[in-house]
Amino acid sequence: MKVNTIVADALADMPAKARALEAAGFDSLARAENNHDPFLPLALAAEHTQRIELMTSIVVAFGRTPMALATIAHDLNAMSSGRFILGLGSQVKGHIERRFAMPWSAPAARMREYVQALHAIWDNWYDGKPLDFRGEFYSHTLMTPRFTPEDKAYGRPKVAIAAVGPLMTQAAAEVADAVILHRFTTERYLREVTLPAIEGALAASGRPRSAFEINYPPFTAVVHDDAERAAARQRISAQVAFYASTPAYRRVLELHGWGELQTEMQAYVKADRWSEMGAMIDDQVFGAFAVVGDARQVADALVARCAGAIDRISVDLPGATQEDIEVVVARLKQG
Amino acid sequence: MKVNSFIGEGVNGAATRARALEAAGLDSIATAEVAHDPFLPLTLAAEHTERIELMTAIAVAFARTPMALATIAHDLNALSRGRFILGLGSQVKGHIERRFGMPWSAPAKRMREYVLALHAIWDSWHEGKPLDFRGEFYSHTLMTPRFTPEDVSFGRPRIGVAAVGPLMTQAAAEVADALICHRFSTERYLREVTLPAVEDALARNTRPRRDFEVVFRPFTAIVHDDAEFARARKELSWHIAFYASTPPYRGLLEMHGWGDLQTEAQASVKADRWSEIGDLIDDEVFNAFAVVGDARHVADTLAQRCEGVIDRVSVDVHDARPEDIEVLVSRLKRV
Repeated sequence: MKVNTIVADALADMPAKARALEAAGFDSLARAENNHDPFLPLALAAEHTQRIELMTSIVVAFGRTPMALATIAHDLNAMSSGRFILGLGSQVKGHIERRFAMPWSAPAARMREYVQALHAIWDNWYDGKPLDFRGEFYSHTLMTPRFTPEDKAYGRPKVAIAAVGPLMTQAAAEVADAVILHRFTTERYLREVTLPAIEGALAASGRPRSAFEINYPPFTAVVHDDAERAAARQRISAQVAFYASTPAYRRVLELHGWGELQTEMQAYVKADRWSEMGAMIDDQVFGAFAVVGDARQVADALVARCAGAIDRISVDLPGATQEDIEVVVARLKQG
Repeated sequence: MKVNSFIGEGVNGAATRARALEAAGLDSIATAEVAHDPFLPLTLAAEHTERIELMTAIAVAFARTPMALATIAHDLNALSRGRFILGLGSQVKGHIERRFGMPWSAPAKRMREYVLALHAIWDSWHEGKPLDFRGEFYSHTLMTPRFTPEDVSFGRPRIGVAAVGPLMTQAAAEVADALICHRFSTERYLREVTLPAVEDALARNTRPRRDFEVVFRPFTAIVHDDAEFARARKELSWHIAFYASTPPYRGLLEMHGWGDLQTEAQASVKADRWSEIGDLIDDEVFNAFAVVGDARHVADTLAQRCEGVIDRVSVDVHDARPEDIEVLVSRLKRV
């Protein structure tokens, strides 16, 4: 299993951070898109590393046109000698329309077409095919030599899609190189719902499972004593409760017979009782979503959950020592 | 007068060139957006320099939503500790619609609103004002703390707008910090058309001229012998003829009584006689657009042409000899 970690350091701190993560043995480092551009830090990481893969996890696809992303992904892949993975997410209607001022509709169908548009652009650049992509959501029909990158030795970047529901998961398995699962996933949901859906879609597209990657970022914390354990329990419970309040994730809870938790948590959100929500996550629910313990316990539990299902696990380990990180990374890489 | 140089396309060598140009005393370096993303090279340049300003000249505004550019410009400005200038260009209808797959209409009006949208987003981040921008072309009405950058100590980036015609020039003078004049400008056009339009628009908006910057990148080449002169004459003539063939620039030629040149150049382009179009440029036309000679001649001629009009002149010296750069930069900075 490959081991990824998501970093959020300031741009100026990225060179040192990227070098440290590469030295610690991580296979990849990723940037999410929250309140900063996700590509600039990866350019600095690429400059200061040799081996570690670099990914967005995720960049908001629908906040940009495929041409802009095709270009920046190409540039990052070329400057990193082929180490870039473009991880795409849809975000939600409100943020696409009202924050980004871009169109939103049929997210899974749109995302499938988005990836096809990227490949149509790259087909033009790398294989010299005419660019004549006319889709339902995106059209790209003009490319001239002047706007074609010349540094094509490393080929096209890999593309990953973040998916929660079955339609987006299917789109990922059809057109992307990898799927990034949502952290609000249990082992049971993963094995009983997600994995069969991916295998079905891959089979329908005639793609072997070995050519596709499943990426999973579970809730984790390495702790050293009861106080740290309690703090991690509280911090992660608040996140689990927040996701549990969202109707889109109800199906994960329902599989376990916990559907009512979604109704309850949504009521807390509506009543603005945010601070009380974490306390509603009992040990059983918490244990299904999160792995908390010492480094060895965390690593072993993650290996057991992921065995045979996950190709790249994403861990963030606040509070972990250098030694903890080495233990976790080494163990996960064997798993 | 400030002196700018382009650093060439792409990330390879961008850091080295940026350091060298800073050491040579340039005030700023710029990237254009052609076959590569224009922001990644400036990220590396920011990391490796201390003083020099960094600008896009230009990034294609309409290919992106204001939110994406507001974010990336903010990040570059913070990383460079306030040295970033976001230079925006409209591109043309065909490239926006068919290459980028984005909407095009009323470019000057759209650009004006684009800059206002950027400021509305930055007002939210830097001054805590609610984001409620509802324009004709762009609406941004959602911003949450999670998506608000935390590193706001260097304030908002400056904005330049590239303009050819009077409407875009006026938009720049109304809402931007700088006007980036088109290369296809003569001294007479700058003094008789561009500058009065800028001064007029500034006056109407009660903005003092000294708070506004006019940037110009003339066609220049530093040469040392007849062979280099002939090569530069041929290469620059081709570029001049290419612009001369384009209908939007006819007005400028007509001002000099050279309107027929546009007709002829356009006919040559339509007949696919690309290699011959440079031959249409006689010495009089050539010298109105281009400055070619030794470093002292180029510097003195540019100084004369720009005096009292141009605040930042752009020369392409990233591959020039150090002694030539020194002559050029020291003389131009005295203007």
